[in-house]
Amino acid sequence: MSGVVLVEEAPDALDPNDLRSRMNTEACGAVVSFVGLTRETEGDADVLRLEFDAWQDKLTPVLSRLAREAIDHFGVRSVAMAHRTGAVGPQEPIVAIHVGSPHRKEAFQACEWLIDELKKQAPIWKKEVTSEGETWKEGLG
Amino acid sequence: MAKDDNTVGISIMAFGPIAERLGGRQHAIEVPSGSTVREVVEGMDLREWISFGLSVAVNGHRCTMETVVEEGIELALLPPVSGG
Repeated sequence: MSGVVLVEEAPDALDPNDLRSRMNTEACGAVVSFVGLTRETEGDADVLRLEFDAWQDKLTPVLSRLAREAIDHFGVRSVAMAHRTGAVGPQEPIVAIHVGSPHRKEAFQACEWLIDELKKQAPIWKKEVTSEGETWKEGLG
Repeated sequence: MAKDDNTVGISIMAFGPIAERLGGRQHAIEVPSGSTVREVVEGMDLREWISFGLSVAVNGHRCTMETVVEEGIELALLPPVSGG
C-alpha cells in the first residue's frame, strides 16, 4: 500500500504548521496546503464564533477514507488533514489539509478535491454565532 | 413496568440542528413494532428534515427511510453536513 495518511480531530486548537511539520514528506517535491479560517464578518454582522458538532466516531474514519482516495486517484504521496470541533473564534483555523507529492500539479488537484469532498462528506455541522443571532449553516451533503 | 410487546425500544443519536431541536444528542424512545425509520422520524415531528436531505444510519451503517427498526438499535439522524 503506497501513500501516507495523517488525520486528526482537533477538539481544542488546530495548528496547521504543527500538522505540516509532522506529515511524512519522504519522496515529495511539493506540499500544497489549504487552511480554512473563521471569517470575522458575515454580511453586516460580526461573527463571534463558529460552533462545530461532529459524529466523532465517524469523523476520522471518513477523513482517512478521503485521504486514501486522494492518494489512489491523484497519485499523491502524503496527506495530512485535521478539523476543529467545538467553538472556533474569528481568524482561528477550522480545517487544515496538506498534500505532499513528487510534483506540484497533482498536489494542487488533490488538495482542492479534498476540501470539496470534506465539505460534502465529513460528519460535521456548523453553527454560526454572530452579533445578530445564531444560524446553523446549510449543509452540502 | 413490563414492556409492551407491541413496541420496541431504540436509541436516537442526533447531530447539529436536530440535536439542538431535540434538546440533546441521545434519546431513548419506544416505537410500535415494525416501524420504519420514516415513521420514527415523522413521529418525532421531524418530517420536514426528510425533504431537507436528512440521512439516517442504524448501528453506524447508512440505511434508508424504509428500513424497519428493531429492538435495541441505535438510529443516527444526520442533517446535511456543513464542515470546513
